[in-house]
Amino acid sequence: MHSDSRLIEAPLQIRSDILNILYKSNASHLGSSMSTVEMLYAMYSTSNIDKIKNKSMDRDRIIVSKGHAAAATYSVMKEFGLISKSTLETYHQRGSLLQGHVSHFVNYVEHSTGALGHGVSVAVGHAIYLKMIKSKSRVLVLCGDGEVQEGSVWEALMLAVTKKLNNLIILIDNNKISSIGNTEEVINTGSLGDRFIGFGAFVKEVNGHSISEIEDWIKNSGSLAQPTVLICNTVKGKGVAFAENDAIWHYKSINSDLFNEAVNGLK
Amino acid sequence: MRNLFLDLLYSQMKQDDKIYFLTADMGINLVEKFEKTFPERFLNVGIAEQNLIGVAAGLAESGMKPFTYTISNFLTQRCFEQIRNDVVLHNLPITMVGTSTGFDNAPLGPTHHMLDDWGSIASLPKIRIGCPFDSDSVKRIFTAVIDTPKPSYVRIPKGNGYVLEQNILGEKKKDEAIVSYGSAIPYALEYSKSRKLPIFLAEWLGIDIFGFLNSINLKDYKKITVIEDHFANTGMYSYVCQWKNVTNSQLEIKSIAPYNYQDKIGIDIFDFMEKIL
Repeated sequence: MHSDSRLIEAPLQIRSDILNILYKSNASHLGSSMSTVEMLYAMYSTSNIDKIKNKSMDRDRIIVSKGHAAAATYSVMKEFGLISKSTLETYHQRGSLLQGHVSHFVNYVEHSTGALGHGVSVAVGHAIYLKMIKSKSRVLVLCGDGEVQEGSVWEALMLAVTKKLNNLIILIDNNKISSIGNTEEVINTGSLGDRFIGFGAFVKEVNGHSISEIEDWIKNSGSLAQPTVLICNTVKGKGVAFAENDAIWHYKSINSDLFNEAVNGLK
Repeated sequence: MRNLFLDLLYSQMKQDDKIYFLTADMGINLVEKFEKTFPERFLNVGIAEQNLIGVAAGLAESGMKPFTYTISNFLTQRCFEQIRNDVVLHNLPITMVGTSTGFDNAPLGPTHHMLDDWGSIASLPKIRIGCPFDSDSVKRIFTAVIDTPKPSYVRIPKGNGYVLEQNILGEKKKDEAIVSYGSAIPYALEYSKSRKLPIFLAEWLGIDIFGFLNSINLKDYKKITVIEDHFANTGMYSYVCQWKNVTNSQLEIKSIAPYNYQDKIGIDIFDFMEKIL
């Protein structure tokens, strides 16, 4: 157990918020939202939030390439004071800016995503800019392990390695389930870390539900000469027993019985 | 026209340190001077058009004004979703500079025929599409993309452009006229000369075609012949049809345009015209 209570209480609060907004709006993507909670938390906790709020040109950038983790992204942003509680509660409802995929129309969101395989290229553009202005800030990208089936991810990585973008950190949500099945059966991405190593990145496999472990390896990136890829081993649906490791919770929405069961299960 | 556009861009980059030049490994003997003079604002992303546009989007979100450069069809089609989501949705000041149009590269085969490039791009909202026809036209388009940065696609036909004879332009009292653009222009000029018909050239395509049609007083004509280097169903012909519908005009519209990729060397717009003649 971590002595730092934020590492225990914050994920619980975020998961509770996710369940609430998904239930109220009858929305989907429970599985990915739950698997990415700690990753997203670590991305924001290692970033300079004041610079993000001030929209400073040398701010850290957070790009959620797997845009369907929107409920988690917005819930984590609330935790860091970037979205209000009342705004979060409008998630996925008519008239809300908080749609089912991450949107740049929401303040402090860098880039709209939803079609997979876009975020790393955009992140590379930001990372090149930060190098150009000699900033020490980082660009953090959240990608799915299914998403890396998109070839554009590897186009971007090859350039990032060539340009020695050590300010780029790609976090892979390695929950081993893509859209409708296990990645092992769809496109076998076994030895995922070796593949990234083969492309020239610095790769570290971490517990994707350990905020402190992810934070440590994000902070380590500055000492390297190449981009970092963190293979974050996660459980799709983490924290919601009936949803864990079941692909159907990419799509399914929760009814009142399951909502109560899930909320009670978090305690 | 391509070289002129790049020369203008090179000069502008000396004055504006926000301009960033990206190529997808194209432009030998053209782009080297950009790299030499502006090493921090030049990037060859390799043969990776999706990444070309995505990286440009990231740079633009950081306040830069990227120009992306490669062959027109690679620039617009491999990376269509990146253009849609990363550029147009975010309304970023990125200018995509595409070389060649129509059958400019015909002998290279159907993968290099650019008959469906700007029609694809024009299906997206709020993106400006330029297609110059002479050096002044290149300068006007360049000035526009510099002065008002927004998503833009400039398709540049091969060659130095075309000189219009004033007597052709002057014969506006006829009931019939020709409109054309891009690499169809030499055929349109020939058609115009043989029939002594006035000809008008467009330099902005997509939704700006309506402004062009109004500027030439299309309502004063009974018949218009659209000669273009692009499929008619998504090309200028379709815009003229829309114009006719909106204005309740009785205009007769004739289309001369490619209707397929060529299956052997030597077929070009001129061949389509011959059939119709």
